[in-house]
Amino acid sequence: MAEIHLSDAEKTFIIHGVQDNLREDGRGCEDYRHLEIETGLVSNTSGSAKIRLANTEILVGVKAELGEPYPEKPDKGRLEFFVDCSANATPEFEGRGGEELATELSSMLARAYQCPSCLDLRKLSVVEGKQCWIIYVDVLVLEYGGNLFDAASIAVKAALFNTSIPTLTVSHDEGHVEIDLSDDPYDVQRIEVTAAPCIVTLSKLGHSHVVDASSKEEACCLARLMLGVTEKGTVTAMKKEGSGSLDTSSVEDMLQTGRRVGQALNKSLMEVLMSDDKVGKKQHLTGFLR
Amino acid sequence: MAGLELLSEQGFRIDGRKPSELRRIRCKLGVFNQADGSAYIEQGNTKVLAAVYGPHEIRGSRSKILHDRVLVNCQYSMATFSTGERKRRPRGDRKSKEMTMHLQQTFNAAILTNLHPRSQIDIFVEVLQSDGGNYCASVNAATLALIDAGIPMKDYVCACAASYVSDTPIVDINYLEESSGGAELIVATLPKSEQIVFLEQNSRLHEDNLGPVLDLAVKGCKDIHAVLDQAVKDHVAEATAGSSIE
Amino acid sequence: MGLAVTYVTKNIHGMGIYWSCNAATATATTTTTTTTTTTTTRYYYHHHHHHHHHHVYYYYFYYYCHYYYYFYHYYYYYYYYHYYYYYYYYYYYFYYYFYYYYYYFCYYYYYYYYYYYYYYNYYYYYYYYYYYYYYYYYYYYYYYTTTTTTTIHTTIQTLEHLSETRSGLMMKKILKVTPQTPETDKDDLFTFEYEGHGTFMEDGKHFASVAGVVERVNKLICVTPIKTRYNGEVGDIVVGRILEVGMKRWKVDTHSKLDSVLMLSSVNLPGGELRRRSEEDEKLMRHYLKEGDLISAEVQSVFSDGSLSLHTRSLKYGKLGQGTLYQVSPSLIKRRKTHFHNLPCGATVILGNNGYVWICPTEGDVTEQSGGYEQNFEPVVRADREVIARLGNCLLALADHKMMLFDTSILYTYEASQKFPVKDIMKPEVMTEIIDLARQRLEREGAT
Repeated sequence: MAEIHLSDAEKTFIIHGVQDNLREDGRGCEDYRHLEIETGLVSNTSGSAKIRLANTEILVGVKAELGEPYPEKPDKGRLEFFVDCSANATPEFEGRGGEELATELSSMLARAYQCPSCLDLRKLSVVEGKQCWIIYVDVLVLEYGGNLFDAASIAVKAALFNTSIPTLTVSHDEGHVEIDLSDDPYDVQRIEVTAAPCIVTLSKLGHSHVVDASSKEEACCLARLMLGVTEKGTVTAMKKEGSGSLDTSSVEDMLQTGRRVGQALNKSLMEVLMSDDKVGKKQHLTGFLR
Repeated sequence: MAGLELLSEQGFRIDGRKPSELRRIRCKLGVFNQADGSAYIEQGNTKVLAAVYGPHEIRGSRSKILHDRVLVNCQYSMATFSTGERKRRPRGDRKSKEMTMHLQQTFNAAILTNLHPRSQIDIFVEVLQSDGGNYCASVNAATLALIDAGIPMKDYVCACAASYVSDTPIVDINYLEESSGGAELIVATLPKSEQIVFLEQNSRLHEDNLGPVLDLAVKGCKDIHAVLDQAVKDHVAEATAGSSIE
Repeated sequence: MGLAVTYVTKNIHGMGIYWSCNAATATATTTTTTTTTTTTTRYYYHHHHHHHHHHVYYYYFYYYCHYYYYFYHYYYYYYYYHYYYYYYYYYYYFYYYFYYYYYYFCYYYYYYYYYYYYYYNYYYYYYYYYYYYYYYYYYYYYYYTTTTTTTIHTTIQTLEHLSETRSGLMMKKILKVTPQTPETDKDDLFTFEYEGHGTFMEDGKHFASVAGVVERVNKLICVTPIKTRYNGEVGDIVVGRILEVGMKRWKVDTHSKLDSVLMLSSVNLPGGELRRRSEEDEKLMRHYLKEGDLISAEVQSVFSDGSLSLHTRSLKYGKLGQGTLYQVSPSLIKRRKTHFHNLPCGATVILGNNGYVWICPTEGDVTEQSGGYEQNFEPVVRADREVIARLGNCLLALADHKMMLFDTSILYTYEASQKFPVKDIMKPEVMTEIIDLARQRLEREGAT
């Protein structure tokens, strides 16, 4: 992680603030910072989304390609995650500098989406055992200002919501299978993402924990718990990270907070995405030009 | 490509442009807060982001310190979803390394390097969507980012690519025109003095045609310069509007 | 040229204009003294265009000039031993400490004066020309007794001549340029001979190398870019973070082109002792300042490659305790008399010239400052914490809208934000609203 060094006095100030439920910028322990989402920016992808969470900026592009399914799951499509930490975020990410962070993030996302109830991958199967849709989700970290995992998962969910896969007509012709791609650009199928999880990171600072830590708070915290939470409150993945230790009671507390926050986050995210979708194709996509 | 003419009889290209017409350019300076300078440019469907850090102390290997000049360090990377076919690796392959070197060469010539000895300037370019003219858009974006960072330069660096199709030189080629196999001439110039800082040519081009194609490319650079200059002026006006009220 | 040209005639606290007013008055003073040559003492004073607060001291100086004479030796004698090479710096220091030390005139040695005086005499004469070429608005006056009138006479004449030509330029022309814009103007009275920052010469013509605002004073032209790394000047207040502990020095990050240096000999030892630093002190360096600590310091000097040397030789500088640090662009911080503000809402703000702003709760006992040795790890009261959070958010809002940062603008924004809860200030619509309110109020009240 891009290191920020803080002095002991600053760390004390932050930790005492958290205990008082008044963080550095006036938020409570369960408040998220200002979040901006925009979908459909990159035109040669099947779906894309850009998210800006205060100083963290992430761009996700989803590409759908035809390929072979996993041998042990012949009736399901594939979902592959790839994360790239761009050097734009910090010079330390130059070359292979950001690879550690990238692999952590991609493995966490993969773990969160592994649960079979999240995405119905059966719909992505074209010809059982032979052809299926492979969804490549590529996450590009453009600016890093704390709370990367949450932002990335929200962006992934938004991008998947925005994805449109062209419909196929499969015709079996004497053992010879023909796949026809529809010519109509509007004849598409969408992915059902209501049950997709969002990652909620809970950072332990002193005796309490916070949601959506800024980069300064992340520098003070020694232990983090990351949960993949769906809209219904189901926890699909859990991972403890950091060099500090957590005792069982705090893990339970954090779990409860995480579920509560995750449910609220998922609900508001779906509301925003649905209303955005109803507006239809926008005239001006501002993207970075705002 | 059957049925797809690069230049129709009426003189229009695939995307409806005339041979000497540039694609629509939209750009913005100061996109990121954390980088010292950043810029975003859209040339048609090619979208490129550039970030500049510096000048700052050289981190890492002390052996690279130049006592009389600044060290210019570039990185060119493409997002995996930027191309039509998904790219496996964003950077580290031969093409990206080559591009990185070209960018470094170009900007070493344009930045006034002797003003910041013993320090380092990082230029990071990220291609978000690629539709031909990657190098050109990268150079233009990096120029804007350097201006945004307040790093002194001799002049803008504007790059443009030109090709020769059906006896007509065409400027600002997109991906289809690039991959059709025709000659491709990429030029980066300092517009005011019309000095060429980078020149690359692929495929075959008859020497008689080199003159017109080169002239068209240099003129394309000048046109791009006009657009970028206007964008910078707008940005400066906007930024100083707030601070002049005192 | 096609660029918008606006003439700014009002008195801006910045480079150039400010001193032109002084120059006008100063010239007047000088002429009166030359006409009445019977006075035995002529006083000259040295102005540096970067230090606005000297303007105040100028008037004091007028009355206390005789004390100046005395102080000068005392100061020089005391510091010669350690800083003889900081000759220029002494003068600056004189101004800074003058107000506090003017009464120490009884302890100096006259004979030193004559010795050093001649050294100085030569030095400053040369110095003046050096600065004429590279700095605009650099006035150099020198204090001496009648015994050496003759040697200085020629200097005075040249000074007066130059002061007349310079005081004529009362306006600052602000142009907005982009790189490679030729700096020619048809209504130019002077030809450009000297290039300042942000320009370069090619084929005998001046071109801008950055995009920004043009400042032209007489024959010097500079372009200041909108956003740039911090370029240190002597006497600036900076807030920095310790990067590493080295041999008798600390490397400090001040968001400038190169890391700054804080020498062991430039800090105050615990208890305020003044002695030579020993080996023990070297080993205890990490006990005082280690990696990650924040300090407030002043720029002592600038090396040739542009890196800064800092010092914390005053009790108000030193290690910073509990509070929060914000980073903004250095160009948004105005150069003012003081950068330490104790706001009435109960927080202290340090506006570092390098763009690092430190907000902390106001210490109970302001007069007893120990230079940061005693750190207070007691939890800060919730009310204070809210004030700090609100101030911080207002600061970020101002920076986002590229407004200049100074105590009045921060205070107005703070007051305008009172009707919103603290965490809502970071929302874009709320930010725009409070910034507009603050801006209107600033315009109304004409605060600078």
